[in-house]
Amino acid sequence: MNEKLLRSLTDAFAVTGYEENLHPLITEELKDYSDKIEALKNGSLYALKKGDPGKCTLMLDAHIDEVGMFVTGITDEGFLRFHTRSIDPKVLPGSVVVVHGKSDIKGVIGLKPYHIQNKEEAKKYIPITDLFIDCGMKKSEIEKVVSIGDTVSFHPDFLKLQNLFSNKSIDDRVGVYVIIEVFKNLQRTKPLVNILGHFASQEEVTGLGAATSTYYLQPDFAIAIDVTHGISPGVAPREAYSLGKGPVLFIGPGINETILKGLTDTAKKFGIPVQKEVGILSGTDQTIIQIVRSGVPSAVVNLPQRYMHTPVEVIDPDDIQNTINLLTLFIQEIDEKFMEDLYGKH
Amino acid sequence: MANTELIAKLSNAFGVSGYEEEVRNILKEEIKGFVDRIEIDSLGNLIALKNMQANGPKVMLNAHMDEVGLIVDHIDENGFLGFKKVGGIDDRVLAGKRVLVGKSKVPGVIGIKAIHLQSAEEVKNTIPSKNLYIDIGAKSKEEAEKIAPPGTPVMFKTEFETLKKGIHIGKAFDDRLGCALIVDLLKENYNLPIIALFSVQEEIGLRGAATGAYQYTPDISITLEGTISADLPEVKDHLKCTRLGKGPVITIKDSGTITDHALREKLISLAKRQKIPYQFKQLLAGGTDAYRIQISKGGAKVLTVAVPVRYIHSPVSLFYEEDYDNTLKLIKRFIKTLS
Amino acid sequence: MDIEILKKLIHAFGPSSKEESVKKVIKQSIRKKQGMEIFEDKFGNLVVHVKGNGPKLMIASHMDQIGVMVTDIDKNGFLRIGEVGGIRKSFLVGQKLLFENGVEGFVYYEDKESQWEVKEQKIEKFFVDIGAKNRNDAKKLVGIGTQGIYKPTFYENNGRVIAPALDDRIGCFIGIEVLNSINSRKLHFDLYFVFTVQEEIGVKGAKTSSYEITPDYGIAIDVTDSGDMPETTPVALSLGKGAAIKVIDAGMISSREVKDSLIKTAEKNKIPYQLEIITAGTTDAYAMQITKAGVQTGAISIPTRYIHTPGETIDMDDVKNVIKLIKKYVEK
Repeated sequence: MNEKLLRSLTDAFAVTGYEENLHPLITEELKDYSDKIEALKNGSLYALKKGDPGKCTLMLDAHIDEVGMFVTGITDEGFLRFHTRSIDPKVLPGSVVVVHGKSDIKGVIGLKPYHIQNKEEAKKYIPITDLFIDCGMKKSEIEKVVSIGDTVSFHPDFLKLQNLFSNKSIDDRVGVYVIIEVFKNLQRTKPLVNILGHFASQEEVTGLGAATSTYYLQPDFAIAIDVTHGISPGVAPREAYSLGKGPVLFIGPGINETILKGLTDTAKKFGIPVQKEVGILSGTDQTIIQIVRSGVPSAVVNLPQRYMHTPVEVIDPDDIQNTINLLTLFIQEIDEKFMEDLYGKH
Repeated sequence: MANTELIAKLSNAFGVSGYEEEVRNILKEEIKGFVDRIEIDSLGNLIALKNMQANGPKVMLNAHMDEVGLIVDHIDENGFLGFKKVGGIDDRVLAGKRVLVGKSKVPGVIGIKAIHLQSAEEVKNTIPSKNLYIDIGAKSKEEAEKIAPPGTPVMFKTEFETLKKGIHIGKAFDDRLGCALIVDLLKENYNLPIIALFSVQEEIGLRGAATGAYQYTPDISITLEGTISADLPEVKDHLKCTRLGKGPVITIKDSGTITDHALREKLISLAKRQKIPYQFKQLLAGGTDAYRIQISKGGAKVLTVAVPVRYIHSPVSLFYEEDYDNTLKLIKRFIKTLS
Repeated sequence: MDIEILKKLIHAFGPSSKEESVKKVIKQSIRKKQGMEIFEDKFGNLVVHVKGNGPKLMIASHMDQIGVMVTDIDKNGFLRIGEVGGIRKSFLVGQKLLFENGVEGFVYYEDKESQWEVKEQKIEKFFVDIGAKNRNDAKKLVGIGTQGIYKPTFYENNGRVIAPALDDRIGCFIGIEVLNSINSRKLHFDLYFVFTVQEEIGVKGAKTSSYEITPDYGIAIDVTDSGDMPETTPVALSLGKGAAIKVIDAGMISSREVKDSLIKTAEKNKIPYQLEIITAGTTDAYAMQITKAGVQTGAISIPTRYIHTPGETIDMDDVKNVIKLIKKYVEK
């Protein structure tokens, strides 16, 4: 486990719309393991490893963007008003955030002290419109650095909780990490098919990266690597999966059965633990990729993680390693028969 | 007269969204003598091409092969199967029903606690689908997992039956009726390029139509459906949406699409001239594959015409054969006017 | 600016899918010039192509407005309606509607207890009275599928305009003014100004025209919210403070290249501007951005009060600045 790399990836800031922040790091990691690396105007980055004979291309997709907030106004006192699409406001009071203006500034989201709140007030849910970010600056100062629309991220803090890891944006930097490691593992081999690592932009908003990159790159089949919910108190057993019991294969009407079988067969053959998640639409880039142009046969491998979209997402490195192994071996196992099953099925 | 044998075969077939193989195989057999080329795309759509070299606008005939159903997502310690709904289903039609689990069609039942054991409050409450279970008679979790592992699709167990002459019940008339209509339509010859798109995964987001229409983008498209009829007691007139026996339903607008005005007027004039009864869809609800086809690439002119059906998206629906016949008659004649 | 053109646009009947009258006004108002081609694409969008040297730029304003559709006529001649686009049901009761052939009527609401207080915001509970005596009488005037809009009105005072359908007739007006005043020889874009159809029911015209044109850049011209009314949702936009350059809305994040380029153009030419962030609603820009392999897309918006109600309100100063900004952006 390359803890340092995972830490760098999750510490890095790239809220939706600013994915190019991660391009240099990913490029640096993959430059010796790919035949081509290119950044696209939609904010995505892709790396290509040629296969032999390389008649078809498998796209592995993970999204770069993390959930965040954006500045919507500056009050007369110099506090920042903000909005978010996918963060639960409940995790915000009492947290440290980073405002990405002309430079990165730290700020605090605070609350009126409970000593001066009445009992009723103290129980109330605080909507996002009532929160503000305090950077300790006056209006005239902060206006020089911060503009409306600037993004704001959780402050990172990579922790080891016994054997588990915690940090912001495990969703989906862990997917990015997995793809990088798979490329590294494949260095000395030449798979039958070309492997395209697609580091997608804007998954958290419209799936713009997945939609437009897939249109452009035209992969023949695809696997999205994202996260799913991990078991924690109050989360119903049917809605979440165990940490440490392996990657979660998504099963449902939109998943290609040949790819899914390939993944489960590989897992069985090599003794890799996997779990299964059943749903209708996966809610990942795969949902979008599946219906681009004339369609892309696709599947989803999710890593279970706790506390999604909060600063303290938690994941088991064993699951990460098993996911890397599963995908590496799956790719190495791709043979003519698999390709025939994928395309000649009907 | 409606090909009730074909309708019955299609209605009884297994075809929950994402698992349409059996329906596709039946349709392939039925149309193969009448079309020039048959293709199956990567999502599983069945596409048939007829007369593509002819002059004139490319006309698409579209219906979806999939039906709403369930999918096993969980097995409890005692071997009962928990499930998710595939497509929109009212929770209240599930209790006490018979189902067929998986492509091998293992019988199961969705039972609920006997009324004798229910509290006064429980009696009055709807049971949400996540609290319902399928009983396949397994004695243990392991046994159930072997027969119906998570991911196994489940369909309602309903046999097509004729209640009385011209009135039929069965499942999945939405949209096996549309599929049957296309089979009947393909048996005719038109001097036009015809593309038949039997789509997959319509009920879970109009998915197959997106890729099917990209592959073969038509100029004109007619989506053939089985649509909502709520002509029931105590439903106000303006909420009935459509009525059985009043003929094919022509959609002006539904939740996602306004059909082509000029083309629709042409269809209505034809119906009037030929004295074929027709009605309009009077609730602007429900979406169809036409949504995807209309905005495919540079766009297409779309129409949606449907057979009115009571109780769609539930284990048993009902339709009148005369509505099917009138729909077939109308569309067959209409296509001929397009060349 | 020729405000008479705006008046004509507001009075044109054009609910989604029936934009013919609006198209007519636009065609009549554009002064055709050298190198300008005007045509309708197969989806019904009105495309004005002004050839220029440079990357393809598509600018989109939508011609359609929200409205209603007749779904039933009862035996007493009352009409039931369905929604076409985002009609705000809290504004329907007591509103005057105009139907396709000039028929007018007022909207009321089923209610046995308290006179027409909208308790449940379900469209099925509303009805329209067009003064018909019975079903046959009504059928002479309307049919199932007949579309209706808020009756057009136009009030101008002190540089502010109050009218229904400023969303997005003001965008069409801006398009006409830009096309009538640009110097095609100075263009550093190959310009496609598209007056789109069916935006309000799913940005459909923008999706199909963008596919056909495959521009390199896209800009939508549409209305956006204003936050300068009493006790209203905080939005950092006000009437009279300039052209709104879109940063974020519910459907997209503007391409930074386009947004920054627009800001630079505004600053260079001392055009007052505001930065737009809204959290509900989107525009044709969403459709352009996600077309094919992607289009670098942004938007310029006109701050508007009370969007999707009969009393949409704007400041013509903002309109003037939007026109100026577009011109300076497309010309060298």
